[in-house]
Amino acid sequence: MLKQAETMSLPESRALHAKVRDFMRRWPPGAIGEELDAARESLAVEIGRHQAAVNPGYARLCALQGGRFVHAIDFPAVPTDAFKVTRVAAFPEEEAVAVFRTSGTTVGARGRHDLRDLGTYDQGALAMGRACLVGDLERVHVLVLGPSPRTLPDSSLTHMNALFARELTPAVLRAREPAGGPFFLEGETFDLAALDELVAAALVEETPVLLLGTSFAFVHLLDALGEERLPLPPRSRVMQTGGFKGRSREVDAAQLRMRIARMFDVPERDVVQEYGMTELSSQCYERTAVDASAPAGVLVPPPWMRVVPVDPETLRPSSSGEGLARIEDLANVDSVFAVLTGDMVRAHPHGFELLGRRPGAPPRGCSLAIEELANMRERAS
Amino acid sequence: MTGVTQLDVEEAEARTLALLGAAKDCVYDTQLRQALVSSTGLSAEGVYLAMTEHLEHSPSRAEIARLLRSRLPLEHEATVLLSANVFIGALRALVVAAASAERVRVWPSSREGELARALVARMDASWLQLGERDDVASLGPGALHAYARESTLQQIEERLPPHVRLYAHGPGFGAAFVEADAPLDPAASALARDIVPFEQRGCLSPRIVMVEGDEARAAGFATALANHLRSWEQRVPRGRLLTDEQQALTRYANTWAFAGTVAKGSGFVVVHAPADAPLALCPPGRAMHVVATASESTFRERLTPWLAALTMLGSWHGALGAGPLGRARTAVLGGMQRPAFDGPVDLRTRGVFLTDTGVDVARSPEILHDL
Repeated sequence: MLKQAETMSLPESRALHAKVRDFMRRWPPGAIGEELDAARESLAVEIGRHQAAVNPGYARLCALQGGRFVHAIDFPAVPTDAFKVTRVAAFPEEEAVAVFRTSGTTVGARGRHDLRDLGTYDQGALAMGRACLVGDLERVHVLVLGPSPRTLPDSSLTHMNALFARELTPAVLRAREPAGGPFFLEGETFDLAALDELVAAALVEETPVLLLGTSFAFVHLLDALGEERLPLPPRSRVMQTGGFKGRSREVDAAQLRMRIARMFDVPERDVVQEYGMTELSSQCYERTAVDASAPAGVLVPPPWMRVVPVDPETLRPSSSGEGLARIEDLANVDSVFAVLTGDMVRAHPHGFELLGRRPGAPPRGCSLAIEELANMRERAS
Repeated sequence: MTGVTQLDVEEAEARTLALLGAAKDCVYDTQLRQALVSSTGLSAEGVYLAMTEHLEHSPSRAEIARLLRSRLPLEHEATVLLSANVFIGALRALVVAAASAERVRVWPSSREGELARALVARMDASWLQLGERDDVASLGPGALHAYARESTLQQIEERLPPHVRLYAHGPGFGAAFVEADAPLDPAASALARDIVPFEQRGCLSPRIVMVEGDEARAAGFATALANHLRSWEQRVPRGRLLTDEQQALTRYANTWAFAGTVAKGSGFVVVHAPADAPLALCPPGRAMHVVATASESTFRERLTPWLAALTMLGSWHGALGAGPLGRARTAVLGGMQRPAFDGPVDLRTRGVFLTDTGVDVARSPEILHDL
């Protein structure tokens, strides 16, 4: 039986954050095994019980589902849609140190994720970034094909990019950057001259570049440059995130990877996909840049995260290994640790693969589908 | 309306009455009803409800007269594409086309075409025939009455030759309003009556209700509605939902359990959402999104962004003027799924405006967005 309290106190929150950070140190990226699984399970249950006790919304969802809450999988996952319609947080609004928002959504409201403590987020992000992007590189210059946090302060991706730029690039290289930092896309305008200048310097010194960007940004850069190339120094890597579905076309992920590799003159294995979202505090990566045996297309979560494909109707683990991604992120201390995304995934031994949207049967009848409403509004705007 | 030729009114009336008679014959056709259970996914009781209480085989003489007055300009040939509609919609679609064309060709739905085929078979009329759906680019001069999803209608608009007049009927939804002086339980009972038919898959089906008053009043209405839907589950069990429909309901229920309160049964979901949450429509499948609202004007204001998709406004007193809310029909609660038999169900039809006295025809695919 889950007892109801009012809100998670700051000391309680800090204690849980400390446990999660200890977990991150104890089980760094790449760790696997039964002992890890047991430790993660134990901490997940502790966090889940705490969240159900202090968050009335989560308590209602637990009550709706019913049953006993013994294992992590017993706790219901909150659909990402909930972040668009209400505040998903177990603490007062004024205590938020960061509020991340999703980009414009099709139903008009932007999702928000309030964070009370960025330390856990940053620790986890850096651990995964170092493990999956930097690897054995001695030094790297992080450049971002995206906006600066000044212009997009409520984007978790922008925050992470800035974190990497600050923490992974040596000070001596940061000193060469423009005053606003290594951010080369504002709105829809690329600052190619500045990017070119830093890449040229890196080429001379043979300093690998870690270029971060969204698939959207890369597609637009490819469109802008046409057949031109922007070769990066040897051993450089590219991190791309998000799919691309424009108003007029859809770009195949494999094609995009190939075109990125060609434009920047890097091996395709060094074009690494990242998977994250505003509603989570942790990220997943392909490991192709740091592990020669890692399969392309398989995303690996950090040890403090578990991705479970669930049957979209029952929301129980799928027997086929394919289903909607239920993500348990221990770093979501002050919101909800279990999140139900809208992404279909297939399980792999130590990770998962993103599947495209499966076309369902055509809807019956003539009642408006939510997607149709969104499309109508988009065309009218 | 001057200068526009229409089908002779006596011929139009004769065809209408013949189609209505054919529909009446279908009501107690048990073989047809069994086929509809299989194709629609409705329960046997759901098909029976649709056939006996929603198939429009006995409109009033006044309604028929109004329908005939607003019949469309005469075409030599009309094609009726029934791609997406609730099955009983085939009758009205055929009546509207039959009243305005010398010859009518029917392209029934590939999934739920039984009633359309049964009507054509019973009519056995030389002017009415079944056809296999073909590329609209191949149509000869005449009209196309298309009942389809938005994406299909857009494809049709791109491919339709200029000599074919398009009457497009797309998806829509209904919205309900419970006035401050409406008795909650009777209003909830009436709205449940509007939710159940066709498992809410109709273009008039209500998908949101705003209750005038405070949160407590909205909560009381939500509870009453849940009770009535629970009762309906005993009398007319919910039929089979598509996988996507079930998934949408589950996700909807879980999202709003977190953000609001949810009453859920084996065959329904009722959400009471906070008034300050973003407005949402429930998915089909016997669900309802209940929100408190300060007044009728707030109700109208909140619906304005969805104007283009709104087809029906229901209220306890039935006194809502459609006014600035576009071309939605209006009805009392309990009557949202029984629109007057006076022309196409959907008054938003692209390509044509229906007026009280006749028809103004405009060929403008952008009409929806001008509303």
